[in-house]
Amino acid sequence: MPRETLSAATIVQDMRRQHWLDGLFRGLTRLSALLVFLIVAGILASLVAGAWPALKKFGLGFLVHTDWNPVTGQFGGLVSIYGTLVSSLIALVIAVPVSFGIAIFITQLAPPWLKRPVGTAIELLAAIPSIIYGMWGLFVFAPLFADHVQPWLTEHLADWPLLGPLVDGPPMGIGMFTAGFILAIMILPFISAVMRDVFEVVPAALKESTYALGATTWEVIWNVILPYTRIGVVGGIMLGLGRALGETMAVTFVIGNAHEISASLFMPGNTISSTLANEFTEAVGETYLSSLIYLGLVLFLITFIVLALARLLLLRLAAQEGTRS
Amino acid sequence: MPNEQAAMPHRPDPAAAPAGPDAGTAPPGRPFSLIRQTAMQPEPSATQNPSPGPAAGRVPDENVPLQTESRPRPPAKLRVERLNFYYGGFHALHDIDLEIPERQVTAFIGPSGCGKSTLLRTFNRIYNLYPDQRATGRVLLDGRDILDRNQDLNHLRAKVGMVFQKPTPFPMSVYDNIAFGVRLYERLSRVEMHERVEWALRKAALWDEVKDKLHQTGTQLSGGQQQRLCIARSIAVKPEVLLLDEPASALDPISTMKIEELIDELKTDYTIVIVTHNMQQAARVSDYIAFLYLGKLVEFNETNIVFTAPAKKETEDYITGRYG
Repeated sequence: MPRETLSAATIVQDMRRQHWLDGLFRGLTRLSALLVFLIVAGILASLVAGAWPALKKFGLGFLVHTDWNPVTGQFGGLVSIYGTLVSSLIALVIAVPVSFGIAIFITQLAPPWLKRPVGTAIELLAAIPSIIYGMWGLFVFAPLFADHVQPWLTEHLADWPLLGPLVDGPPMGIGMFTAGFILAIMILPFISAVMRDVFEVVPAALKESTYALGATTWEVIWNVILPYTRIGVVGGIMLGLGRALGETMAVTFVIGNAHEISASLFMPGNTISSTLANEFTEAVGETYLSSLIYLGLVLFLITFIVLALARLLLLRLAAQEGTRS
Repeated sequence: MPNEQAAMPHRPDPAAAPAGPDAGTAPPGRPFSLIRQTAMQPEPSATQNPSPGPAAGRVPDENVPLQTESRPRPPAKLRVERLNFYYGGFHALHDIDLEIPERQVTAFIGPSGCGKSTLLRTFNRIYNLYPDQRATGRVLLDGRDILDRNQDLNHLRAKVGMVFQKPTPFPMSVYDNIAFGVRLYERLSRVEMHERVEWALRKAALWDEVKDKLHQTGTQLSGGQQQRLCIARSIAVKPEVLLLDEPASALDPISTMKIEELIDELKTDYTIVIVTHNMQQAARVSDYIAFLYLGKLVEFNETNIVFTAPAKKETEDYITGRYG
C-alpha cells in the first residue's frame, strides 16, 4: 500500500487498535500472575475447610499427639510429621555434599570430554519416575540394608552413646533410613543441576584473580565460588528439600508405614504423604478424613515455613556481609 | 595451605638490588604525555644515553647480555626465552625473547589480539587453568624456570601478583578481601593482620576512603576503589612482581589517574608489568616498552626511545596511531 494513502484517520484508528491490544496483553499477563495467588489461596482455603472438623476436635494438639487410631477416632499427626522431617533431613544430609561434589567436579575439575556425559547422566536421574525409585528401593536397597548395612552398623556402633540407639532394632531393610536414602538419590539431580548452573556463572575473572593470589582449587571454591553463589546454592537445596518433603510414591514403598516413632533410623515409620497415600481410600467417617486433610494442611505449612526460613537465612547472610548501601 | 609457604613472602634480597645507579627512581626525563615528552627530549643524544648517572657510560654488565646496546639496565627480574604460546591449535606467541628489568615499569603495547595479555598471563601461569592452553620455551624468574612442570603454582603466584582488567572484589568485606590472600601464606595475629591490611590499603592509596567501611562488602565500593582494592589485595601478600592487565581500562579518568600515580609509587618496591591499550598511559607510567604485533615482539626498549626514535616501522606506525 503506498504511503500517501494512509490518512490521518487510519493512523489514529491503527494506533487505537494497537493501544487496545497492548492493554489486552497487559491485562492477560496480570491475570496470569494473579492466578498464582488465587491457586495458592484456593488450595489453602479448601484444605482448611476439609480439615475443619479435625481442627475443631483436636486443635493444635493434633501436632503433638502420636495416637492414630481409626477405631477410637483419636488422631494425632506427630508420627507423620516427625517421619516427614527426619526422612527429608536424612536425604539432605546425604544429597547436599554429594551434589556439591558433582557440581564442583562438572564445573571446575572435569576434563571437557567428561562434562557432558556426567551432566546428561544427572539429568537422566531426574527423569526417572518416582515409582521406579520406590520399586528399586524396595527390591534392591531394602534387602541390601537388611543383610549387610544395618548388621554391620549395629555391630560396630551399638555401644556408642549417641549413635547406638540410631541403628538399633531388627534388620528389616525398610524404614526411615532407606526412605531417606532413596529420597537423597531422587533430589540429587535437582540440587546438583542448580548448583552446577550457579557455579557456571561465576565470572572467570573472579576465579582467575583468586587463583592469581595463589589460592588452591579448594580455597577458590570454598572462599569465593561458594559465597558468590550462595543464594543459588541455598535455592537449590530448598528445591530439593521441597521435593523430599512431598515425595510420596517412593517413600511409601520403603518406609514401612508404621504409626510409631522410634529412635532407630532403621525402624519403619511414616511420612505425611505416605500416610495420605495409604489411608485415603479406607478413610471412613468425617473425623478420619478431615484428620488426613489436616495432615495435608500441615505439609503445606511445613513447606511454606521451610521456604520462609530459607529467605530469612539469605537475608541474615546478606546482613552479616555488611550494611547495605 | 602447604606449610613450606608459611615463611613466604620475602622481599628480594638487597644484594640482588638493581645494579643501575638510579634504578629505583624514575629517570629524570620520564614523560607525562607523548606531546610533552617529544617536546622535552628532541635531541637524539638523549636517546643514546637516557639514564644519566655516574655509571651511565659503557659499563659492561653481565646481567644484560646481548642487548642491542650495552646500557646500564637494571638486572632482569624476568627473562623470557624463546617463548611460544598456543590456544589449542592457535599459535598466539612466536619465539618471544624478552627481559623485564627489576623494579621498573614495563609496558606491553600493541593492537588487540597481538598477544600482550597472553604474554602477561604466562608470568604467573594463570593460563594453566585452561587445559587447551600451553606454553613452550622458558620464563625465568630470578633465574628459575617457572614454566617447569615441577613449579609450585601457589608459590609462584605468591611472588607474582596480578590485577585484572575488570575489578574483581571477592564476595566478602573490604577487610577480608585483603586478609584473604595473606591468610593463604601467613599466620598473623589479629594485630599484625590489622597492620598488614592497613599497610596494603595505604599503599594502594585507598585507606582514607575505606577506613570507615572495612566491614562492608568490597562490591559496594566504586569501580575505581574496587580496582585499587584489588591492587591492595595483590600487594598485601608482598609479591615481587606485579602484573597489571589493562588495570584502568574500565575506569573513569580520575580513577585512572590515581591508579597511574599508584603504579609510580609501587615501582620502588615491585617489578611492574602493565598491559595497556592507551599510548599516553604507556608513556606516562612506563620505563620500558615492549611492542608486540601479531604474536611477535617487534621492539623492546626504554620508553623514551620507543616514543622518540622507534627502531621499527611498525612501532612508529602504531604509536602514531596509524593502526591499532
